[in-house]
Amino acid sequence: MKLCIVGIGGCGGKLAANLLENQDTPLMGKSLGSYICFGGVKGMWLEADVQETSTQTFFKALDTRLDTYQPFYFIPHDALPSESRTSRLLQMKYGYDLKKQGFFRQAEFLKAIFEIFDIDREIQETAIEETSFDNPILRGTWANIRPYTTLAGTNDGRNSHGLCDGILFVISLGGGTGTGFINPITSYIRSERSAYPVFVLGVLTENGKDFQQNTEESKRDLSAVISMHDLLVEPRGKGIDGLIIVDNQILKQRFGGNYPFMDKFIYQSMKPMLAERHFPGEDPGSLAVRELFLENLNTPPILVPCYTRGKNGNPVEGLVKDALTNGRLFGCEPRKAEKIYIFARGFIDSKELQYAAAAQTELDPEKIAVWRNVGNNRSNEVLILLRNPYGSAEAFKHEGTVEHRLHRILTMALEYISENRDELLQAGMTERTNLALEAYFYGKKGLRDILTLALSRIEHGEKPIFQDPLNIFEVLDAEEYAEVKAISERSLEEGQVRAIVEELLKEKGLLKENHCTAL
Amino acid sequence: MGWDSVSFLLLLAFLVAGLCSHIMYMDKMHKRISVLSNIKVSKNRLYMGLSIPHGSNFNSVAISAWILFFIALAYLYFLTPAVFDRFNYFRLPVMASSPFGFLVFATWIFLLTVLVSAYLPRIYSFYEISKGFKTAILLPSPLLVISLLCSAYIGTIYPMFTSLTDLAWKASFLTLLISELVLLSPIFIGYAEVNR
Repeated sequence: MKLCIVGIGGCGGKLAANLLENQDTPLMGKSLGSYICFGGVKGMWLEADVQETSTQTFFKALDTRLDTYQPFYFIPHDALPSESRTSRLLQMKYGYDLKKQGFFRQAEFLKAIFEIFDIDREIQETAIEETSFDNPILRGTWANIRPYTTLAGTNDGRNSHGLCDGILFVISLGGGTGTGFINPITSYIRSERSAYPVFVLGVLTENGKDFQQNTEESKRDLSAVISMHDLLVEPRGKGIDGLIIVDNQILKQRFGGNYPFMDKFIYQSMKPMLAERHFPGEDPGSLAVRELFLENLNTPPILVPCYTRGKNGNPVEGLVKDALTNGRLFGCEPRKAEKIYIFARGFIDSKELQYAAAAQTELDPEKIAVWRNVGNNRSNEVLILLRNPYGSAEAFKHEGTVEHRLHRILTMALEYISENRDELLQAGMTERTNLALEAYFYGKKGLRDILTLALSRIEHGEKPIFQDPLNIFEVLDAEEYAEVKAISERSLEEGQVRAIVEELLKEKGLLKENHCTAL
Repeated sequence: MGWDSVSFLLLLAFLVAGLCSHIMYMDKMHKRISVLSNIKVSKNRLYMGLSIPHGSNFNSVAISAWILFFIALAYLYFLTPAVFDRFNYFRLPVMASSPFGFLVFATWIFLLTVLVSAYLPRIYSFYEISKGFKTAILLPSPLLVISLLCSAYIGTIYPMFTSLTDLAWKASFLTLLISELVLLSPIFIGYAEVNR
């Protein structure tokens, strides 16, 4: 398996920098020949904020790219010229500024942009006149990723040796850029090769306020929830093939908030999956891994990584137990996993690994896949991916479970939706966009309803949690518009007023916990 | 047998130990992987699978370091008759009396050992080498230049002996020894770990 690493946004870029670090001897920052990454991976960074690209030195600008590989960054909206008619038309019709620097944690921004390019014929035609492509942002982004993949090798007559047979997007769930790129790019890929593997490594934002960006947790949680929802509802063969999810809160507690250490640890934990020097017959192609991840599923799975490293010679049972107890990178109950995928480094017997994992999780060993590589001989490492390790009713009440964590972020997201209508429906947008956003957030079967349903599924232990695809721009006639407006305004008035009154009464001590007045 | 000869044998012994360690490492890897794999493994196939690129910088530095090592070894022990009376630079009067004699001598050693030096990075490709070692491999080259300069000083003033001669010899030998151990360390470490 050789993956093309695509970091998106600030967090994705920092993680990608670790994964794409040059493994060659440093010679004053120069390379005499090829740039060598761990596992032979290749990759790049997608970033919308020019400021962020200028304050780092790892990724080179696209125009400095050499014939041999080196990691570079790409600013997607650079695909459009500065004085772009497409950009002006889009702003005029929808109010979105395509050339805006960064996305200010509006997870739905990119989603909206790509939907507009998908449905608006006038925008498409203008874009074609200007750039020859109906969606130049998406096209430009894919044009820079594709050369590193085997899709470039097979179609362009190039030797596919050394090219990547799958893509790993690395993102922050709750970050500013969101995941809006991923599904549209995946659709593009699917139109070329329906089964080309696309995975996502998502780092869930931690609890509490982000003081650097001055963003409350609830806003970041909304962004995270929109991202996760969009990634996990696309049907098999259309969307991604797996979401590996890491909880930054766990890493923050483990490493005292030292973000470079946290990034290094994530990189370390992914090494067993990316490493070369495989045992004979255990070099899985990305396609084979994809098929196993998706076995018997219609939508992408959540994969929780559990990692540990032990001394060479440690018993395998201890290694597996340590990974599944102390090495979880997202709170979960391993016994709830549907399937287990183990990537191991070192001289470890695969049967021992299977039985050790089966003993810890009570899962049939047949449902445990193992791939090994030789490693560095100094220590044994295991990365265990647990597929969908959730599904108990009431588990959301217990800390350290997938249900508990997702319940928290869904609750926070719903709070944000209820309390920040003006923030979500920003001034400066056109009526068409505001109407669409109102329907998206507050309409019948809008995001608020969908997330409430998801919350209910968590509480009842149902799988999967996210089930209902949702677009921002649906066609609304006048009647639907009136209905949407009435629903959102009514709910807002009743809900908000009630909450405010209750709060005031509680402050004055006039309201007991059972909501009976004291008077 | 003087200390000079013993030191030469010591350096040779490390070279031989490195070669033997590598052969045994490959053999041990094959055995362990064959036992742990569920399929019969041919050595050639295994070796292909174990080999990983370490980068052009690393390979270039490694080749340069090994070339310098052999030249420095020849300079220390074969430049003057102090160690090998029968086989030394001064037995070649045309070369010894030429102002470019040292350079020609070094070029001969280079030509004799270049194939070996060029093959050595291939050996490194069977070992997983840490980023730390890839930086440490920058150390031998300047050390070997020091060794060369010290040996060249001894060869220049020969047959005179000054107060610095002994010091220069020791410096030349120590830098040679340290460089050799650094260059062989991935092999020794790999061998030790595969036998754990």
